[in-house]
Amino acid sequence: MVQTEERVSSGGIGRYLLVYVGILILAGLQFVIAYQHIDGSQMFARMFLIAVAEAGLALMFFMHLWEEKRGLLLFVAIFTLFVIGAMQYSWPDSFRMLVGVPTTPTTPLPH
Amino acid sequence: MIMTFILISSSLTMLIAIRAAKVGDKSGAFLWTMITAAGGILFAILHLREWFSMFDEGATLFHNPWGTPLFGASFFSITGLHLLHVLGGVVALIAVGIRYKGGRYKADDLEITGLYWHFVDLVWMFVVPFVYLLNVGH
Repeated sequence: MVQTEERVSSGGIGRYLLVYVGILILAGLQFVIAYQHIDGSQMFARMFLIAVAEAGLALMFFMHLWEEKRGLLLFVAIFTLFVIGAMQYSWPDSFRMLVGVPTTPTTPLPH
Repeated sequence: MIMTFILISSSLTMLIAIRAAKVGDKSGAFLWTMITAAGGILFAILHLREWFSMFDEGATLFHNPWGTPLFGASFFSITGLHLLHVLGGVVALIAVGIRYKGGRYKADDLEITGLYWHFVDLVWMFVVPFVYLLNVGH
């Protein structure tokens, strides 16, 4: 939110258009990947990488993170990695939904 | 694909609106903000149209005619929450746009609303591949 009128006049709409076209191309690429006959985890990895690239472009240029102080940029990057890392803690637990409540030899199966 | 195009394009129109506001072009900023809101409304209409066609095929929050019932719950929860945020953004864009034109809000207020709108767009970039595309080829 440190944008000034000088900065607005220095950067034209051309850069926004370039980023916009870039995001559209990346979005189109996801549709191409969706119709490739590849392994599910491979597809997930590719789509995730493209989505991160799209989001990165939107964050950096549409939301002007690139023009902010480098300290804030670093904070957002580290905080994002922390959140994604913290999500890894809970995601594996959600796989229990595929097999139901885990059982041990001492606990009988629910009827 | 069309919905994605509309939402990404509405981010561009929002940027044009903010740019106009920063250089003091009030009517231009208002016009582009309303175009952005119109994009949001169009997105919501297409989304609801898709939902109703799925209802016709028997898919609901707790029922999925094609497989596991969990799909219905996941699909309608994720897309529904996103749609709610889009609709909230449309209301905010219209309200802030009108107040900006009336002189009660500044360009910075419009920019903050724009940040929200870009974030809604950003979330959609993840919803599309993981909710729609991951199983489309199978």
